Amino acid sequence: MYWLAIYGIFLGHSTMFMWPAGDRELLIDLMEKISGARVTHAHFVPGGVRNDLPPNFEEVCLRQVNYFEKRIKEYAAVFYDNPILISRTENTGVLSREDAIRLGTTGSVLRASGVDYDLRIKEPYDVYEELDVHSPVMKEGDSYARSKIPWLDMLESCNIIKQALQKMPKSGSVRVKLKPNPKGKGFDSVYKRVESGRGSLGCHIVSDGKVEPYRLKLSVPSFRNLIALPYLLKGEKLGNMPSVYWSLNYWPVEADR
Amino acid sequence: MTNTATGIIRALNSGIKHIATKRFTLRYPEEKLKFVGDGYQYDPATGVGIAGLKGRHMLFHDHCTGCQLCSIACEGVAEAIAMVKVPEEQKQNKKSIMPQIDYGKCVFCGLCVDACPFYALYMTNDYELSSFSKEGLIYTPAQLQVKPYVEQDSEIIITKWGATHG
Amino acid sequence: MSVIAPDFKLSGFIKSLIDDIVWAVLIMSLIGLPAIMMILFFIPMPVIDGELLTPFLAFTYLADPSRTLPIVQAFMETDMFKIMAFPGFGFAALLAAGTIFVERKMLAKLQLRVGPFYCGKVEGILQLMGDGLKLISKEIIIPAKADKPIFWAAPVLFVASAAAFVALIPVAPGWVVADVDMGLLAVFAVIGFFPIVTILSAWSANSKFPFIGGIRALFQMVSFEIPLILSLLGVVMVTGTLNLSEIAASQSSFPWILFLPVGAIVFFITMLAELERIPFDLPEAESEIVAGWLTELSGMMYGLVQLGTYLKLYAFAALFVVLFLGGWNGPMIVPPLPMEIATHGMEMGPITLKIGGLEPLLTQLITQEMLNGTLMFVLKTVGVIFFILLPRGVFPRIRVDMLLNLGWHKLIGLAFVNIFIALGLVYAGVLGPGGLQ
Repeated sequence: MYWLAIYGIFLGHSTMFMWPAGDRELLIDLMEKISGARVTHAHFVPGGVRNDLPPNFEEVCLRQVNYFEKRIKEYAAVFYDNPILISRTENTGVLSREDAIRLGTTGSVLRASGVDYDLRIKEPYDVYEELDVHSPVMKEGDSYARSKIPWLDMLESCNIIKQALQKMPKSGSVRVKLKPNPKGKGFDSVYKRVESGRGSLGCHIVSDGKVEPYRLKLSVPSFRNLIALPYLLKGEKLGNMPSVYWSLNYWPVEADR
Repeated sequence: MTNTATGIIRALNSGIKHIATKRFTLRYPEEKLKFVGDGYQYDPATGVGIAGLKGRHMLFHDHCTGCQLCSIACEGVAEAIAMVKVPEEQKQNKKSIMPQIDYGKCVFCGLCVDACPFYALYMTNDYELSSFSKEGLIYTPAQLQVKPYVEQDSEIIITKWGATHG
Repeated sequence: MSVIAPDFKLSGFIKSLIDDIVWAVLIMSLIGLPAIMMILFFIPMPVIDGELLTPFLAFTYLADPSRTLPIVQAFMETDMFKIMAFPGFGFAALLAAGTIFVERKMLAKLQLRVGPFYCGKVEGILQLMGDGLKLISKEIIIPAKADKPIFWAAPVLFVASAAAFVALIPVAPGWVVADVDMGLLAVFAVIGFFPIVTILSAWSANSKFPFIGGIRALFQMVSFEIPLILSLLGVVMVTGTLNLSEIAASQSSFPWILFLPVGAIVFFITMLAELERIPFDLPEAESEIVAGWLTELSGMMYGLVQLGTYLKLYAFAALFVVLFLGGWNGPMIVPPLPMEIATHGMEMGPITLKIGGLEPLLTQLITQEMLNGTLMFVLKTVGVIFFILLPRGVFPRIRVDMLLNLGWHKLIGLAFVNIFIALGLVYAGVLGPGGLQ
């Protein structure tokens, strides 16, 4: 949501900065109720999650998610159907389907160029087999599509949250005590991907037999998508630079990981 | 052409509708957010935490045994907990040492609370921890004992006219 | 202000007292006396009850308060009053200040946040005063390599041309600062002056951000001047006169926007471009170049430029109202003024209070039509200003080549369509001297 705010203000639309930054508060409030911290959650640990949901959480969450969905549907009138925005971002920074696959982009950049690849559907993990997930795909591959796909993703996520709340079991353990790491022999590595908000977040662990890992690397979608920037900017007007650069769903803080 | 015109009129329409919506800001020093529960706590018997805000720590002097597990847990993260000698004599604390937390380094992750097996270290709802000097940020065990009074009065209210903090 | 006050010493006190007396006497004799001489020589003294109103006579009149009304009326008929207070600078500055505050609050409400809130007791009303005091007290920093005479003169020129624009607008029948026979042509001349002042201010600052901002401002303002002038030609054709008061008076039955809507839309869009408002705020793009051509101005120079900008906003909105929406015409809302008080005096028990001089004031100067006209004018101007402020929250910034495309292709085309409509209406006898008036 914060990315959407920055995208708006770099195009000169100050209202589009205030609205997502404010509506993000609804979600951060929920995260704070669950995990205790607004942004740096530290909620997922090996073995599950750290704590159970607070009492009376379900109706608060449902109310706020419903309101959030109503709010982001209103962005359409002001931002996504705004003729000035459409004429500013359409047909700029077009990324064709082959280029998107070849450059190794993930997430919303890939889906905006017409490739239907969502890790929650292709390689389901956790409980995603039981949930009904659709991922939006657009064919044009220009900045307008790349800025619209995260918005459609957000609407989809609201649906997923509501389904998950319904289907969640009322009791059961949230954290499993794990056995300590066994000592192995020789080098071995594992690479597992999940679909984060922006694309595929991968974790690569190499171990050489000791208890601590030898190498741990997180592969972040923001950093991976950035490789498309020099190819997109060739032949573009200078005035289009903000709209192309920020449309890659790029968040600098995440890319620094 | 008509597409452009309707787009512009829809945008202006949405703008006018939002003038009648309520304002969302939380006027911070006068209104403060409410919290669920009493702060993040951890139950070593079940191995599961209890949800709450991860704020300032609270140390129960009659439970702490000076085992240094919290300090060891923090060494990998932020090195904010050091054990110091306390003048009081506790029955279960033979070495008379208790944790002292440096809030200049603490990242409020809560792993120390997860590490304590004696129900001695909890986190509270207190988040207003600024001070005028770096030394003032180091909370001694005696300071950590005090249960804070946290003002809380407003939360997000969703009405027909929009959401407010009120 | 945490200054530790020094201890009280009697000699210091007497010294400061004598200091004040010396300064007061000096200023009064060196400046006050010549000022009084100039007032006595150059401003024509009104004749009241057959006697010339000299300052001594004015003092004797002050003993009887009911006799000051003729003085007030004489003052209100002078040109100085018209320039300073009513349809001139005071009125425009009041509306401009109100506009700034309303803009910030309305924009904040639209963005679901609180605007200025803490300055006055009630929702930040005194914020503007606070801002003004802050700007006055700041140091004016001039870049080292700037062209100093032009850089100092540019904000003053900006406010001067904005004030010249304000001077041409009629507010009520008979109340206009400069009743020029070719009023609209004078308006075009003044509008053509704004890009020059902008580029002077930007060029003389000798730094890269003002340079880019100034060039952008130049080609934005210049490329939108032609559609502006062309869109107003329709109104001129239909009314047949260039005098702004007559154009306003000719709309006594219906405003021209009903017959020339295309022209009104074109004028509105070019007005947004000339005022550098969003969506056309390229010269001041806050996230791309730091502040455009306003970057190097600090302190009161910035304050003067903001004043000029909002005076320009008021003047353009007022021009739109005069030309398209009917000026001061409208239904009579103001009740008729109580004339019996003027002629017979008020009855308070056994005493009949007669206030001399009220009758000529009420019949000649502050009449019911003037009050009604002013009220309708202000209401319409406030409505237009609301629609100018609204796009700021709703639209993103337009790109440079789209701006030029709009100004040189599409708007000129629409303006010509408007001219053809106006010509058609005149020659078909619907409007103009032959048909409906």
